[in-house]
Amino acid sequence: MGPPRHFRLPFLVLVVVLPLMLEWQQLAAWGGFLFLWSAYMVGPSSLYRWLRVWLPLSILYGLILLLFSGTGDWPRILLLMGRLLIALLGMQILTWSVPPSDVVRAFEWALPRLGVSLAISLRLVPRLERSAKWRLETLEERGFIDEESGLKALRTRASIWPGWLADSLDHAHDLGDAVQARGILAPRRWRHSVKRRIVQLALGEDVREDGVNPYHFSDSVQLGLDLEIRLPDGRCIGRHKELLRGGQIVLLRGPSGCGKSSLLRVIAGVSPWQHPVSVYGKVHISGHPSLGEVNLAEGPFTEAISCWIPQDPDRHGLAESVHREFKIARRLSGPWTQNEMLECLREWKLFDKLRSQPENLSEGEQQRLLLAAHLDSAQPIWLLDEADVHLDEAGFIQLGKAVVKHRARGGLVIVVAHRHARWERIADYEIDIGDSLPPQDYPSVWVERGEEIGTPPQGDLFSHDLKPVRAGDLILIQGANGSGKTTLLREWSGTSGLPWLPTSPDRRLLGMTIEEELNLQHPILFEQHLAGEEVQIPDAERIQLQQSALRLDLGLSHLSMATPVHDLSTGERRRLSLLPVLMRKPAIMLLDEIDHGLDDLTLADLIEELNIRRKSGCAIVITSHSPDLMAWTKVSGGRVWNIEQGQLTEVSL
Amino acid sequence: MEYRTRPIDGGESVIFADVQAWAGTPGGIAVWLTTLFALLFGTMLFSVDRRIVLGREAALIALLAAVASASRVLFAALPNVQPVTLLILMIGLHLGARRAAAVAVLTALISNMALGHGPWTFYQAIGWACVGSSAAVLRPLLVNWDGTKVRIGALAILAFIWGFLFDWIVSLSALALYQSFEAFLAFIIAGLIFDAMHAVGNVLFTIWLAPSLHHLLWLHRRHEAGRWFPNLLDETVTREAFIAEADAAAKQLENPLAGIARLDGED
Repeated sequence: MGPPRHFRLPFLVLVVVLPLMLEWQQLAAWGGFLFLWSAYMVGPSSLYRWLRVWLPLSILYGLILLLFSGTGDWPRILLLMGRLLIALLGMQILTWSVPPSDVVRAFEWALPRLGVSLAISLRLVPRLERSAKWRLETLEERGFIDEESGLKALRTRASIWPGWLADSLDHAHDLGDAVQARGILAPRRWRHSVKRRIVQLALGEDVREDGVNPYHFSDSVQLGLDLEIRLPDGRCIGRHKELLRGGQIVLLRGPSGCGKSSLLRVIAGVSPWQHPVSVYGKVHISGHPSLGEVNLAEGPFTEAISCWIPQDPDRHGLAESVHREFKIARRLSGPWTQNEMLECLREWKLFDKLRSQPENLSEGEQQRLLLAAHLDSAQPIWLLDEADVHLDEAGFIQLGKAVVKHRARGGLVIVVAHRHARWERIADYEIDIGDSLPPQDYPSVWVERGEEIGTPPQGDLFSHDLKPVRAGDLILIQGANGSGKTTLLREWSGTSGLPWLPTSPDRRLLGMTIEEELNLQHPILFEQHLAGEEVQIPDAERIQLQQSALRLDLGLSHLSMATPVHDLSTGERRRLSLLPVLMRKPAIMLLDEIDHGLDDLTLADLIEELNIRRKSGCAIVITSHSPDLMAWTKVSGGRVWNIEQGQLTEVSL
Repeated sequence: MEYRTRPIDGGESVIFADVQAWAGTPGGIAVWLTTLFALLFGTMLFSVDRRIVLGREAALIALLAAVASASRVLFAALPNVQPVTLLILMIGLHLGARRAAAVAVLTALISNMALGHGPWTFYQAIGWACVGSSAAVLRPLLVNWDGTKVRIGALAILAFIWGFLFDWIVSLSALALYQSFEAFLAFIIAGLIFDAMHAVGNVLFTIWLAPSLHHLLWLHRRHEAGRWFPNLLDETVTREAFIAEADAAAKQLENPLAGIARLDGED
C-alpha cells in the first residue's frame, strides 16, 4: 500500500520538501491526498491514533511560535503548522509501509555488519520486554507483590533491573558467539569471485560459494587437541589431549560444570571466555575444505570453522521469522533453492511454522529450527551441545539420521549429552571429561497417595477427563514438540497459583550475582537484606538455614556469593532456579523438562529430593522426553499423561 | 576571499553570490546543516560497520541499542525525561567513543521506528555520539584511579550539561522545519523548560542507575579478560611427565607381587 520499494527514498525527499514550498490550496490538496492514502493503508483507527499524538503537538508548537516569535502573523504560523503536520504524515506513511525486516535487508546489502546488529537489535527489543515480564511474574510467584504497599512493590520491582540487564548482556554474548561461529560477519565471497562463479555456472558445477563440494569430505579431516582450560582462580576445568578424525561420532561425557561446553566453544572458534577463562595449548584442524589448516589460537575468525549448535535455542536464533532464519543460514552455506528449504522444514516437521516468529515456538520447535537451519552439511566438524534435550522421539530420530549421514560423508561429529543411552548406540568413541561418573540408578520410592489436591485446567486450550491429582502423586506428561506441555504447566500455575519451573533457568533468576539471587528468592530474605545486619527480622534466620540446607543438597554450597549468576553452568543455574520452588513447599510442584542441563549424578540427587517431597504429601508433575524418566515414573508407581491436540489422556501402565 | 568573488565572466560570480546569499538565509542554513549532519551520520554508519569484527561486538552494540530504544519508548510519556543520555554516557565511559557512536546511530534508528522518523534522526544520532565521545574523553575525571568506581558527582554534572546541549543540537532540526530565525529562537526559548527537565532527569537517572550500570559494564569487561596462551603451563607438563613416567615404570614390572612369598597355607 505504501510507496514502491524503489521509490521510497525519492518519496521521503518529496514528502519533506514539497510541503515547504506549497501554499494553502495546494497544501490542502496534498494533505487530503496523504490522509486518504494513509487511511486506506492502515485504517482510520491507526490514523486517528497518530493524529492524537501529533495534532496536539503541532498546535503546541504553533502556540509557542505565536507567543514567543513576536510576529502576531497567525495565518503564517497556521501555514507553518500545516506544513509540519503534512510533512510528518508523509514520513509516517513511509514508516508504516516499510517493515523493519526491509530496513534490515537494506542494511545487509549496504552495511552488512551493522545490518546484523540491527537484525539482532530488532529481535532483542521484544525479548527484553518478555524478559522483564518473566521477572515480574517470578516476583509475584515468590510472594513479593501481593502483600506490599505500592511504594514497596515499586522498590522491589526496581531492584530487579540489574539482573535483567545482566541476563540481556549474557544473551547478547550468546548471540554474538552464534554470529561469529556461523561466519555471518564474513564478507560475501561471491562479490569477490564473480569470474569464478561465472565459470562454475557455465560448467554447470554445483559447488559452494567458496568452491567446495558440500556433499563429501576427504577422510583426512583431523582435529588435534592439546589444551587446558582454567578459571581465573587457577582451577582447571578441562585438560584435553586427543586426535579425532573424520568419519567418527564422538560422545563427550562429564559432570555439570566440567568444561564440556567451553571445549566446544574453543573448537567452534568463538570466544572461549564465555566465563573469564584462560586457554593454554593448541587446537589444530587439518583438512578443512575451505580453510585448509587452521590453528584456532590465531582466531577469532570471520569465517565459520565448524557447525556449532549451542544449548538454549531461544538464545541463539537471529531472525524475526522461521523463513528469515533459514535465509540467513543458507545464504552462508552455498547455493540453495526454496524447494530445498521447504523439504527441510517438512523433514523437521516445521512446515506449518514457516511464517511464525521463533519466539512463539515451543522450546522443542526452536531446537528443531536451529538444527534444520544451521546443520551445515558443508562444514566437516559438527559440534552438538546437548542438542537433543528438547527433542521428542521423532525429532531425535531426525537428528540421528542427519548425524549418521554426516559421518558417512566423512564428517566429524562431537556430541555433548547427559542422557548417554541414546547416543551410545551410534557413537564410535567416548571421552570422559573430569571424574568419570558411575552409572546412576534413579532412586525410586513407593508413596501412598493421599487426598485430592487439584486438577489440571480445562478451557479453550485443554480438555480432559482425568482423575484428580492426589497428595504424593508423581505425574509425567509426555507429548510431541509443540503439543502444549509447557503451556499446560503455565496455565495450571496461573489458574491455581502454583509455582512452576520453566525449562530455561534464566526465566526464574532475578539477581546479578548469587548473593542478590538468594536474597530475592524470598520476601523475608529481601527485607532482611534491606534492613541490614543490625536489624533481625523474625523468621529470616530460619528461612536462611532452610535455604542453606537445600543449597547443600543441590550441590550449590561451594559457589562464591560474589559469582555472577551467568558465570555458572546451565546445570548450576537450573538448580539455583529450583531452590525457591523447593523452599515454598507447594501442594503440587510443576517442573518442565526437569532433566535439562543436569548430569546423572545431580539428577539422581534431585530425584531423591523430589521423593522426600512426595513422602511429605507434595504431588510432582514433570514433563520430559527422556525414556529413563519414563521408566523411573513407572517404577515409582507414577502416572503418565499424554497430550495431543489439547486433549489430555491417562496412559495405562 | 577576493579571488573567489572576482568576476571572471560575469555569470559565474552572480551565481556564486546568489548561492552565498542563499546559504546565509534560514532556508539555506537549514539545507546545508541537514546535509552536513546527514553526511556525518552516513560517515559514522560506514566507519562503525567497518570496525565491527567480532560477533560479540555486533551483538553487544545491538543489545545496548535495544535497551536504549526500549527505555526511550518506555519513558515517552514523560516529556524529555529518558535514560538514553545516561546510558550512552556510560557506554562511552566503559566501551569507548566508537561503540557509543554505534549505539547512538542504532538507537536513533530503532527508537524512531516507534516514535517517528524525521530530519531530527540525524541530529539525535550525532548528539548522542557527541555525548558518548565526551564521556570517553573525560574518563579520567569520571572514574577513580583504578576504574573500579564511578564518580557520581562528576558524572551527574556532565549529564546535566548534556541535558541542555543535546537538546540544542537536536533543536537545529527545527530550523529545517520552520525556516525562520525568529521561530527557531522562539523554539529554543520555549523549549528551555523541557531542556531543564531533561537535565534534571539525567541527574536523577545518574543517581539511580549509574552505580549498577558501572558494575554491569565492568562485568562485561571481565568477559573480555580471557586469554589464549600457546604453551601449556609448566605444572601441567611436569605433572603429565610424572604420570607418564609412573605408567612406564608400572608396565616394566610384570608382576609386582612376584617376589613376595605367600605365608598362609604353607606347611
